[in-house]
Amino acid sequence: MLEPRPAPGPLPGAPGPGVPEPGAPDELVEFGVEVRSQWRLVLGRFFRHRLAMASLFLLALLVVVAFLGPHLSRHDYTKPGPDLSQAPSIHHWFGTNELGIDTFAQVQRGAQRSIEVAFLVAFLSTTFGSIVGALAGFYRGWIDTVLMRLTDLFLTIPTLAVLLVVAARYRGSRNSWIPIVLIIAGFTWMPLARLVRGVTLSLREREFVEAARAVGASNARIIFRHILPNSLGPIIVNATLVVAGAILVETALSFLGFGIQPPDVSLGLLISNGVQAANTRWWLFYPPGFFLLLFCLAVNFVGDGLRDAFDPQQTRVRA
Amino acid sequence: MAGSVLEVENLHVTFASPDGPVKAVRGLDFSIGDGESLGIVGESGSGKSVSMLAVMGLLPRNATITGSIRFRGQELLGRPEAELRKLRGGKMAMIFQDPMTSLNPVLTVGFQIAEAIEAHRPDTDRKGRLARAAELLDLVGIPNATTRVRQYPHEFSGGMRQRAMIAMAIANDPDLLVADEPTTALDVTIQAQIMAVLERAQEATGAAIVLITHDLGVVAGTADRVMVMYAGRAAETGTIYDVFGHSRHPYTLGLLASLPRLDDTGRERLVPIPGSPPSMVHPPPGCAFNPRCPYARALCKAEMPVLRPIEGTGQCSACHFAEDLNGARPT
Repeated sequence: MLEPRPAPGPLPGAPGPGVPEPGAPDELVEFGVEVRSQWRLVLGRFFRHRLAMASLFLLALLVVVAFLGPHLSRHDYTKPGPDLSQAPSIHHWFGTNELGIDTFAQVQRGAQRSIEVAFLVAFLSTTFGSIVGALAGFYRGWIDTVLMRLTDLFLTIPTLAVLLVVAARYRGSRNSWIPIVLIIAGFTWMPLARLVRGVTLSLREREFVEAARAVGASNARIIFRHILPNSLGPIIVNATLVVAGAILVETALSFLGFGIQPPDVSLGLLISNGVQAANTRWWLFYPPGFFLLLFCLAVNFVGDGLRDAFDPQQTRVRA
Repeated sequence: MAGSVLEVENLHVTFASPDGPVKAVRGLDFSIGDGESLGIVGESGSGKSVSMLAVMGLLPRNATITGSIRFRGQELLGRPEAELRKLRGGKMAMIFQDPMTSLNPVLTVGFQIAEAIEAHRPDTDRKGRLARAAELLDLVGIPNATTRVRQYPHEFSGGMRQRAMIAMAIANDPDLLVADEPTTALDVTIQAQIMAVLERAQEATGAAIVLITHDLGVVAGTADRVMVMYAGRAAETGTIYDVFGHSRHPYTLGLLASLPRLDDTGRERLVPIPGSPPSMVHPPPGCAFNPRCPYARALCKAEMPVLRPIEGTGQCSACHFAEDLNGARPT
């Protein structure tokens, strides 16, 4: 998305250059060099990315609704009420299901679970994938061979089949969502590992890595201080894709009945329950569906904005 | 010159390649004393960078290094990587050719200088390191150093980045500073400034400097001694005055003849050295320079000349007929 041009400078007749505008930062020093910290730079660029900011706002709103809502709502996602299968109304914003449970409360609870799963998966798989990729790309040789064949092996295993088997094993246990997180994370780190390996292979030949070695930096320092921060762009973008992907995998699992188990709910479970009612009682199907859609879109746009913001060489949206 | 910082003896560096082993350095001897500056000149591929990378222990794993490299009397070859790491950036530091790519673009300049300090003195605190980084930037002539330490490399110009690289190299008060073509990637007008900064850095630290370059003018302006390299061997060594004024090696003479002179009448043509540098996979037998040498005789093809002191001069030359040459330009 192209940014609109910044507001035009002083109009003809207005004070020319050299006259500081009122409100200009005081720390402008004689060479016109402004004091800017790394985070201010990154955040400054991010804040200028309108789509990303809008998405971040939406994301925050969805998270707040999911986590704060149940405390404010009168309805409980487990308690059936007297109003059975009602259309949305002032009392039940998203209507009720055939047991009289408030759909809004269920969507909130389901979104909580799904968001927790998604972010935990993204954190675990990003950390693991980045480290595997960086080690493989940096050390090359047999370490690379072992790690990458392992990655290939994981890529060849049909994720859903394994997920179904393992999920079935933990079905019904109280914290069944934790094994689900571990398994989804265990099958989503491979693309990132390959990506980071590729980036590392090119970064390790860069002169600043040699320069770092020449000042006596250890391998660990080079990997974590020089190579990984330089691959942050692809890592972050991939992490956001994983967030969106994980929520979809979790949804698919729950849809098939192997994910989050009742009485706990997740978006997938709600969609699965509502799918037969999509034509007659639409309020059971569309609210969780839209929540899912909005969440995934917002996450992806935020990732896009972050990628632009973290790249100090990009000039399109300069702070 | 109290003692020598670095002594290199019979250094050979060979790289494995699909065409066979590339003999990049083939028996190099030199030493450098405390606070001395040695210029190493030669064409691309003459082994000047490779030999210093070997000293720093920065060559890739496919390089085979034999011979002896002694730093303050201690043998470096065969030492474990962890010990070399302590030396690198500590007692010996390196400045690279291209300042545009030698700084990490995602870290602030100050952070990178502080990192060089941290790697060798982990007991210092972060604030102190950053303050020291600002001092160093100030020393190398960067205005507003306290502001500049918080900036990123892309906010620095090429000359300023090279200054920052020098600041990083002298951060731990090294005994040996290797500058690998420090001015090649820079604007001509900046080159003199950077050389002045290097000299100031040398004064501040008392380090010996090895200056690798193909710019004879830069060497003449800075170095005490010069070593001319050709095809992985030293062709001639001596003081600037001896080597450039009364060269005893046809290759040096050829290099000098290919330079424009300020004092000529403008009618003389520059004389290039004919031919091109030899293949380092199959270096020519005998003197490596013989296919291009205007004075080559039968002996030159048969026997490899050794670097030997030339009687009556202070320099050493690796030419069978060094005594017959006396600053004469090949015609």
